[in-house]
Amino acid sequence: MFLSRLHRLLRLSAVRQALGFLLLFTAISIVAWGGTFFLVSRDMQRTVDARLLDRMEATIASLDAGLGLVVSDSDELAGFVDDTVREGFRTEDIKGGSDEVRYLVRPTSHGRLQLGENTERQEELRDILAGGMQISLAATIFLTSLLGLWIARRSQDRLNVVSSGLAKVAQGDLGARIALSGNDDLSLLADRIDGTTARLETVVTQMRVQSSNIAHDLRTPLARLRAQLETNLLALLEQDRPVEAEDLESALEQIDRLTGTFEALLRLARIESGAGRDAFQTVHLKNLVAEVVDTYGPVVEEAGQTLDVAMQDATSILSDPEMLVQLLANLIQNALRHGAAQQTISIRLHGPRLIVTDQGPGIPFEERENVLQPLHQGEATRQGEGYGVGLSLVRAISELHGAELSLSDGPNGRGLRVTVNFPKLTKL
Amino acid sequence: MRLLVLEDDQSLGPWTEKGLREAGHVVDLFTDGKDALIAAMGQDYNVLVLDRMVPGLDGLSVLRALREAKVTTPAIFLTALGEVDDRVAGLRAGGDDYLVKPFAFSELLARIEVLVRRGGLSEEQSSIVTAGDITINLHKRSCTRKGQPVDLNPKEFLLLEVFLQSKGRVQTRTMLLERVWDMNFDPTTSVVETHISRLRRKIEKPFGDTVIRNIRGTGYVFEPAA
Repeated sequence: MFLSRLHRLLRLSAVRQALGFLLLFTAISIVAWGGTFFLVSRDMQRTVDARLLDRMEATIASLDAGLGLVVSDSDELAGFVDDTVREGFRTEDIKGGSDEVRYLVRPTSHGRLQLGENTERQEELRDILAGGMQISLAATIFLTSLLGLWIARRSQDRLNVVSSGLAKVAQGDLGARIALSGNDDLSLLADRIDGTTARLETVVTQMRVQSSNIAHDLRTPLARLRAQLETNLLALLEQDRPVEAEDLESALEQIDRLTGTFEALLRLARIESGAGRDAFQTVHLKNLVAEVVDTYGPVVEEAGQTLDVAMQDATSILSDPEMLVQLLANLIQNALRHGAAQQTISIRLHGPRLIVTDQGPGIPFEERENVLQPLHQGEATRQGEGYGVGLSLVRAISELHGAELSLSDGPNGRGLRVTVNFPKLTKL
Repeated sequence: MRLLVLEDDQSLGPWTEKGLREAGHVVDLFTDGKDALIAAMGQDYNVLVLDRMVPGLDGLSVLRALREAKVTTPAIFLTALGEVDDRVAGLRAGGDDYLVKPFAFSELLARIEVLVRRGGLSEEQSSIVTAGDITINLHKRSCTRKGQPVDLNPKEFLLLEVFLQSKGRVQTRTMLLERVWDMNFDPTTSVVETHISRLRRKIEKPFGDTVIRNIRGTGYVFEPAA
């Protein structure tokens, strides 16, 4: 229980950080005080040793002069020792006391001379130093722990805010935001996460709307189809009227139309996923427009409308030609379907900019963004056919090509003008 | 003709089998890829109709194995709607054509016939193609009927060329879109219908007869007077 709690605590990065600081400060403190202690005691010993050497010289001189051993201080010791005592400096504890004595032994013509000095005062100084070190160490550990815990607690609280915010998002509440106060890297990160969530929320909402549009758009023809087949089955069973080939043919046609919608939606999804960009090649817009005009010119003519094409400084762009054909084809189809009777559909190509204008009712400003979504059911289009998937395919293809797509009014505020501005081909 | 059909769907398989039988073909239906592979290795079929997703061995692997074993029987893939990229994968594995589900049966039949002819005809293309009293010159892009020049625009010419090369066989709308316009998507407007009616105006109307017959709900068939 305790161990698992400790383990959990140790997993928090703030606690780890605090522990690290604690170790670091303790180490610094130990090194600083230990170094001072070492340097001070070495210096003190050197002073004592120098004094002993001076005294040794003076004592030998006094012995040589026949004056005997002189002791000027209660701390000072002097005497002769036998051969068992080693020459040089040594430190010895005095029996029964805590005092320490530093000895110097030298052979003289008078015998083995030993001088000593009680180092009690140095000892005291060292004790004071050691005490100071302990107090400082304790204070360092205590204060660092306190500070560490405070910092850990604070950043943990902030992290908890982020983490609980993310948990809410993970549970499906895309409206949840972290909204972390403050002005540091963590709040910056939280802002980024909030931005991402907001984008996600928009996309998901859009997708929900799209799915319901799709469901709506497919349900109506399915219902019609069902009714039709049911009527025919009844007619067949009750033999009250002959079932015509036309009835079944029209059912098949409706299935084909549904399949076509499905296919267009899948194509849209594929283009939106960015697939196909690797099939890009250099395409000359002039040739491509001419090709599509060859195909659609007669169709427009048969519909009693006119196709007016003008190209100026046409350039090449990097593109998937099949998608480009579809883009232009969809624009012409859209103009055909929603334009006015006997209108002129104009296609203009200026450099990399393609403009298709019809003379229909146009699309109101507030609806323009919406008609680029698949199967959008706008107020304006509710009576007639919807915009289907055509314009959203145009949008997706434009996006894939990095082209700017804009819808605007035609000349004199009449009709719809669609402009697709492709990026210029940069020579490698 | 002898056809192999690999399709595991409980209703689509037998439906395809029945339809092809009624069209006068001999059909072997398989629901498992391995069985189909063994059969295709051992017997001579004219065309293989392979579903992509079947148990055992999928259609793609079956064809890949066959092509490695130098079996060159033409093959057509049936793919589900969701797999648009299948077309490329299928052609790379050695497939000759593909058909996206749901498909019209007449479409499958027409494509099978194209594959069979393509195998037998083997590129004996000359620059002059004649059918009945219609002659086209592929180099000069010119056309005459009963010795009189007929002026066609490029798309109409291409359309007529496709018809002449598939005399007597049904060309579906999607087949024409692929071959003449290189469009693998369905233009919801009447591109094919419009161009055919224009071609007819030039090739039929002045001569007062019909060479391109409309088959309702399926496509067109070119039948020149003998």
